[in-house]
Amino acid sequence: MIKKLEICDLSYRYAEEDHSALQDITLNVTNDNIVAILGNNGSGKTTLLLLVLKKYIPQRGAIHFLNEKDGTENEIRIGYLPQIEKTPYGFTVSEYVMMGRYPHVGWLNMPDERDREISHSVIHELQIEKLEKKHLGDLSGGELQKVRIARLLAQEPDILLMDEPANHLDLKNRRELLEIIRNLKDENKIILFTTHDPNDAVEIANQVLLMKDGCVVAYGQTHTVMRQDNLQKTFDIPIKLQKINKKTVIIPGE
Amino acid sequence: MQKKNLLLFFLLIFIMGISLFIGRYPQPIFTPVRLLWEDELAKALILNIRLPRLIAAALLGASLSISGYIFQMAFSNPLADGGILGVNQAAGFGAALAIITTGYTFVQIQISALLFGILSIFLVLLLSRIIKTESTIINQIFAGIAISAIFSSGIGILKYMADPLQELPNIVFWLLGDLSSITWERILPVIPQILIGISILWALRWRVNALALDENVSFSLGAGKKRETYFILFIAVLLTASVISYAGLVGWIGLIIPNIVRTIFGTTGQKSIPATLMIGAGYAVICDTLARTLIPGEIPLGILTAILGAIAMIVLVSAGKIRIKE
Repeated sequence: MIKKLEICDLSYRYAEEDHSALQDITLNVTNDNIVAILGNNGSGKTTLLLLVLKKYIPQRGAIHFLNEKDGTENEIRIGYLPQIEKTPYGFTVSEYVMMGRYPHVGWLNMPDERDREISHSVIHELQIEKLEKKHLGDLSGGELQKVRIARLLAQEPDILLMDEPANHLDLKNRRELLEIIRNLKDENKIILFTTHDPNDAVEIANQVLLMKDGCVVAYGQTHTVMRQDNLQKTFDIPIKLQKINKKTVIIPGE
Repeated sequence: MQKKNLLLFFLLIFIMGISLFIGRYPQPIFTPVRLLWEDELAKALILNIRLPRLIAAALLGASLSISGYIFQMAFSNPLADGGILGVNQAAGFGAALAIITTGYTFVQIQISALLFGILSIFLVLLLSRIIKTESTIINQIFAGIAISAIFSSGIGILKYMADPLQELPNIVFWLLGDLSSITWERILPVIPQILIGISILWALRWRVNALALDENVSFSLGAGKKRETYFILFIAVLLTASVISYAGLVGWIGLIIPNIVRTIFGTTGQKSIPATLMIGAGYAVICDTLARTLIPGEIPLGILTAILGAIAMIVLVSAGKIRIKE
């Protein structure tokens, strides 16, 4: 089980570009945290997630995972939910969710009873039983998003990287999705998710990382970071913060 | 599931059993089973001519179908198969090249077919990345058309250069795709590699699903890594090239069978791979039996599978059973 995620002075530049996509990112996250990564398009949010996934190798800096048991990086599973995913053609929901079990099933093996149990329980948790036999292509946007999260959870990851999980969802589905993510916190996992909407961050994140042009604008506990000046600097527009029923609401505009 | 597979298996055995006794000796349509003991000529005919040919047909159907299934999964494209991607033409070119340069030696034909098959799949992967249309499926098909055209014209040049008395008839006959000249000597050496290839894909029947996943997702799941994808594609090319090297160019099976199987059994490899193998084998056996019995002479198998395949394709597409979604 994971204890801690440490990112030190991380910098990354894409081979075909002449400026850095990420510059000197430092994060320190323990296993009871949800981190929201906020920033405009192109601010480096997705690149950061792919670096944590170890898909890209940073030119400078390092990422360390610390294992609860022995302080090593062994057996730490990282799950990834891309913003746009090429969903596989022709598979049913239950078959797709089962694919989350790949890290647990040996190369020449088939999923066994335990794998089936876990994918069923994930499907049950997310209340998508009635979709099980449906094809991925026949799902609505909100349904597909839940199914993709089910696939992510079936992997039983220690770190969950979610790229814009609430994007393009209607109000109800968005609400449900944030609730699902919030509930994951209690399972000793580290969750990093990106979003355009600062209100999502206020709603569920303990920590917030504000990014602009690959650099950190501010990082820390949600209530300390979410200030007018930080947010205006991040999003480049006037922003107001208001308390409505004791909740902070962030309103773009004068 | 096991039950369905078993049923398909018995159906395949049944079809093969019937096919063995269909023919024009001693009279049209059926050779009575008792002649196997009573008539030496019938016995020789069945055991030394029909049986190797039957096995060749079954292996051909199973191999081409499973390769088609793998190509379709790996390219996320229901139209991908050896014919459309140009693998068949490339392997065909390799084989024809071997016929001209080394004579009709079987090992050389096989190796050359395999090498050019591998070359063509690399070219498809490379070209479909260079070609830039809105659709990856169109990119692949463009790449396939181009590669297939290049190797087809290569075959044309070889035909032009070939000695018209010796080599040319061999090449032409062989390009039509048929099994009429199959003997034990020709089929026995390929059986092991085909069975090994099929067994590997059978063992990986759940794993192959990862080929269809988004690249970053499969990376996060530790599956579908590049070398894993290349390995599986290699097996598919190996099976295609092995078949082409003894049967010539037999098209359409790899396109049609996996699409039919998917509409009935679903896409996941656990269900589709066993069904694809057995239905593909059965289909090829039926086609080849028709090819050798329908008329007093012989219809080349490749011609028959193309006609039937085209009809099946039209039916499938117009029934909305082939869905293309990016």
